Amino acid sequence: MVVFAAKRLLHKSQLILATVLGLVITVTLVTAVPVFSDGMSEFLLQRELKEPSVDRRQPASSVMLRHFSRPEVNEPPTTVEEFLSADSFFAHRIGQLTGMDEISQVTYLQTDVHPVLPFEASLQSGRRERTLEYAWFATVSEINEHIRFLEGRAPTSEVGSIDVDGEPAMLLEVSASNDLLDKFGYLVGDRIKLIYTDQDTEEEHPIVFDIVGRWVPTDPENRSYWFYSPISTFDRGGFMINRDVYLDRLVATFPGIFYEATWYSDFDPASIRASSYRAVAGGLVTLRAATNQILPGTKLDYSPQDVIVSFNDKLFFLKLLLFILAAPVVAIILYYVSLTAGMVIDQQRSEIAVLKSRGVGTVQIVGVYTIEGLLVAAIALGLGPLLALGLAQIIGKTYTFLVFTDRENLPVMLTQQHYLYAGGAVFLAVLATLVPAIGAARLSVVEFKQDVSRTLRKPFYQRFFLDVLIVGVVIYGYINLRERDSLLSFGPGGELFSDPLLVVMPVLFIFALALLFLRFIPYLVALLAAVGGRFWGVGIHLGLRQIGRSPGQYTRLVLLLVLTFALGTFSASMAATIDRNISDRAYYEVGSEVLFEETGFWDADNGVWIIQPADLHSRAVDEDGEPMLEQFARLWSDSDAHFVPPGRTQAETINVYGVDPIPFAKTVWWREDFAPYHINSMMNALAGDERALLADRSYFADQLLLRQGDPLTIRFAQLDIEFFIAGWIDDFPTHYPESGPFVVANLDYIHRNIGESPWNILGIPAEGVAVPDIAEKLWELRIDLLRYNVTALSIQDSRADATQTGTFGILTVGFVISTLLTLLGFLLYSFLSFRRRLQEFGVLRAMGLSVRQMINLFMFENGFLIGMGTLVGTGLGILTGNLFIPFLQLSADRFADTPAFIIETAWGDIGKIYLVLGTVLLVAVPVSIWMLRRIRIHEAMKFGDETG
Amino acid sequence: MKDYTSHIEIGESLVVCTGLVKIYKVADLEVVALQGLDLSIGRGELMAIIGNSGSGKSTLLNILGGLDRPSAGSCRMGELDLVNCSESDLVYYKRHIAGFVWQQSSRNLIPYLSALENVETPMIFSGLSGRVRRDRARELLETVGLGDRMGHSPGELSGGQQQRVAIAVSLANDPDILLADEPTGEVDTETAHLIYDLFHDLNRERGLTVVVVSHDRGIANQVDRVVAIRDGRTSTETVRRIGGEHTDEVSHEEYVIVDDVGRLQIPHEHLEHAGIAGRAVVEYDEGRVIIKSASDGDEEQPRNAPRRSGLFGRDR
Repeated sequence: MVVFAAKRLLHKSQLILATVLGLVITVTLVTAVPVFSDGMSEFLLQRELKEPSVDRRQPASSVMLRHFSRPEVNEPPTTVEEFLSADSFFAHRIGQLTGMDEISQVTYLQTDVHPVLPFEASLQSGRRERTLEYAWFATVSEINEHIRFLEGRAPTSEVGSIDVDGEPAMLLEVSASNDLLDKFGYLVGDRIKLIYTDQDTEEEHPIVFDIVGRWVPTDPENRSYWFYSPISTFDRGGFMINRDVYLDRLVATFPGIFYEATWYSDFDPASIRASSYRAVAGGLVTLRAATNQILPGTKLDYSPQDVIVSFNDKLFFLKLLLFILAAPVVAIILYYVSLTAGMVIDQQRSEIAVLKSRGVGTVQIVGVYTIEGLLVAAIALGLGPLLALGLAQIIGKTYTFLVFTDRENLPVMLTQQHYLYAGGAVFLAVLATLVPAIGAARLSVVEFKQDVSRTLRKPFYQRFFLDVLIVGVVIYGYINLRERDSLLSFGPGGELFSDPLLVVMPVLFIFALALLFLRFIPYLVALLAAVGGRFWGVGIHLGLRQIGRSPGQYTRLVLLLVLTFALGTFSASMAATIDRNISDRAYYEVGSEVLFEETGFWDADNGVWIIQPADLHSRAVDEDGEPMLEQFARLWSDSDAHFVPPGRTQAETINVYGVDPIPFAKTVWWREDFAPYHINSMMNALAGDERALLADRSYFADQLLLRQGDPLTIRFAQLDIEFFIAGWIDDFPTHYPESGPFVVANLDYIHRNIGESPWNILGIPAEGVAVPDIAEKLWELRIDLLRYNVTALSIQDSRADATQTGTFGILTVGFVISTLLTLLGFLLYSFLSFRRRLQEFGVLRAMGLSVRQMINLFMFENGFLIGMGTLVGTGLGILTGNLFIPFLQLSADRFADTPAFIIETAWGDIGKIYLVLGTVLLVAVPVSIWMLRRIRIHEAMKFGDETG
Repeated sequence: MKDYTSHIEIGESLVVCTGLVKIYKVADLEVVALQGLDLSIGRGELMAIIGNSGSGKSTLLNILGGLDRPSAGSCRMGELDLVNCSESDLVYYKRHIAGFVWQQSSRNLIPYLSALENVETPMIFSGLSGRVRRDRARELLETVGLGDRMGHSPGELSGGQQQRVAIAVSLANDPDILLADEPTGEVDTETAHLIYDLFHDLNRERGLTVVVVSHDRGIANQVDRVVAIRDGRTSTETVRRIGGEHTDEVSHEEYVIVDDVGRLQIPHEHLEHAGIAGRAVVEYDEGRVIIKSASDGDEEQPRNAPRRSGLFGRDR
């Protein structure tokens, strides 16, 4: 049976190739999503683990346990035995416990800080910069491998005794850092006395030490070892002593001197993998729980746990998002697979009938198809995951929709889990191919013949009104979405979408309307036939008849076309809208290409700001004397101005923005929907009267019911200034509605009344000029530039974000794949329908139709189906985009709806699909003409009968 | 293995159909293809069923081949009841009891398999081992005279050769009965003779029961017995006799079939000659039954009286 199945496969190579292709693509896509998200998470995890932290010296992959003796005064100090038993665990078992590879382990002990004096005042020989008043003893494991002695040697375990004021005291050897000795003017050979006070008895015990070595760290930046900076920590009074001396003599003699014990281990970040980080996290939890039992008073200060936890959250959302985005594409692919399988099986029904008449049972036929499916599945399972590795890299290199960029490769690899995904996809796809096979195998020859004459029966979803039902569900969902005007933010900030309903609804909407549309095709065809049948040629007439008569043959294909184009158009539009919004938001936040935050000098004596005039910016020129800023304008703001609404006594806080109208109009990034008028006419209104201002429409007009021309008094600090409302404005770059109502007024007028205060400069750099160069120039001009914010950079950052990359990557890849598959499906359909209808063509030729008329017929049929599918699909996609994309903004992060989404219809990308489609048609036309010309009537008649 | 037929000796009835009715429902239209057909086929017979298109002969063959079930009546193949048996019995029947040869070779052969592989295919599905399969397939192809064409695919064979391969395929699982639907419909006369000779040989040498369906009355020269079907019932039966006065002369005797309940079909030309329409008078006269036009005896009867009220009407 296996041999038989293999033979069948080989024979049907072209048809099977289409199925194999579909299956391979399914597996590739389904596997690529987790491969990408794992690779991306691996990349993110490694980046977070390796990136030096801003607020701590220790790398993110390090573990630091700190123990402080006697946190409460009445508790006994930590004993040497307690320390040693904890040490044997903390110094050796952490790597084992967490499964991380240890790079280095350091055990550090130090006493508390105690007062010191020169042993004898005369003995201090160096030049004194500062007096050393306090010091501590410390011992670090393996310190000699990380320091170099400039002078002297390492302290030994020798402990002498010396007479201090008639009492015997310990005499220790210590080494000190070069910085410490320089700072406090000590030299090797100096002798110092430390006074240790027992906290219980309040007795003072002098401890004398000789400086026997001066060292410098050989690797001060090695954070795997120097978890405390060797420069800035030990130069404050830390003297290194021998560990044995520390434990056996110092602590043995004065138990209370035990102060801090720190175990620090640095691990290889590469040993924390996205695939194994849970084990590490588990080990860290165990460690945290164990520390206090092993040695009370010990705390796990630093560990990679925080990084892991935040990473885990991000990973979850990334995967969820990607799967939601990929789901419709997978659905389309599965549909394609079952469609081609159905077409293939339609071709094989007569063969199935032969087998059945020979006593081959239904189960056996399904068995043959199952074996075939498994053989194809084996190919798909072999190829798919490998292709997925490449596809994951492509997704990772997506910049925006259909645009790629050269980025670092992601560390992708195939795991068992990925093969599980691949296996699941194969299972579904094989199932999709088997369903039509089972349907065909159940029919006997006679039933098959009857079935052929029954193609007019409606598909099940039309008979049970499933399509109408789904449309109902979608309408309910749409209303539901519209009523949620509050911002929903489930995920951590910055997530593009957090509400799965948002992505599911549009896809469902497309499916429902596409199904509904199928209902109307016969009427549409009938209408066309009625209107045009008389005027058009025989070919077109016959084509319409064929389509109207046998809807079963092409509905599945039209559905595929409509779905693909609708989802494609929707995805492209969604991507374009989001992409535009990313850029719009960046511009909105900055206000123009670049924002220079500038300050002046506060003359406290006179109580005024001394600020360089803004005109100075025009003197920022390059070597050729060309200005570096093409446009610039001042933008001043006061977020604490007050205004008393008419009829009330309570003052309201408002934001006031001050601008110079003419340069501002040229510099600012503006969008038509920000105000009811053009920016230039608004700025002209401001320039026309210095008291003019533009007021926040939603507050001043809608809430306070003020009108244009109404006077407005605004209080700055203690000064009232008179304005009048010259016009309305809805949004203003850099202003977010969350910060309250706002007005825009003439800056000169404000400053003349209340005095100058610092402003920012919006600028558009001249072509090819880098912003840092401008900043440097501004410094040279003595402009007090605090910092600057470049729009382009923040756009770039957004696009490099894992979520954005994944979104655009999956949208792009899914779009390309489903488009290609649809075209492939269409070619296959044309080819098969050609074979199936050879007899019909033969009869038509025999009836005297010319080849030209036949070509017309064939072209019209295919053209009509493609045209209808494409147009309806595109229209549906645009409709869905316009209905649902606005909701996507609901779930974006803070300031989500500022500026509002502009629904983009990605005509450019749609044009690309049309181009591909056109190319395919251009190839298909000559092939069909050639095939039509070759028909020999008698053969066609016979062949048609046989394949019927 | 089940055994339904092996006890039946040559000459005994292998197939017994009584009162077969088959109603097709196409869209909302009911078509009665068989209207109470009786037929009996003996083991080792070489017979033909003829009828015009639409007479129900193909329906009968489908039922005999186990491809379709009758709506009512009974049809037994030895012990096996084809009306009420299980689906798996039907598979067994198609696999081991009945072999089928269709008119179009596309319904007989799988185009991408060689002649040999085509013959092997039914055996693969009945679970024969590779060697047994191959040997038997070779033997069968040699029997049908295609020993030198085993590796050819159907496309490389002539129509007659394709039909012979199809016969070999139908014999693959050693059936008791071979059903052939217009097996010579698409081949020239010479090839047709060749195929009938093959049927004769198989019939004679293997004791194979062969049933051929045709619309060609000339087939009577090729087979022992011809049953004609009209309007879903058996109408006449022609038996070939060899011998008589001249030993090598072949003569045909045509009989009218009288079913269990006494119905028969009278050839149309006889009715016309006798002027019988609507009612008729039946008389018994010394071992014969005479049918006369009713108008001969009773002038008062209107000529256009409803046909159905007559003695030969359907609702007695």
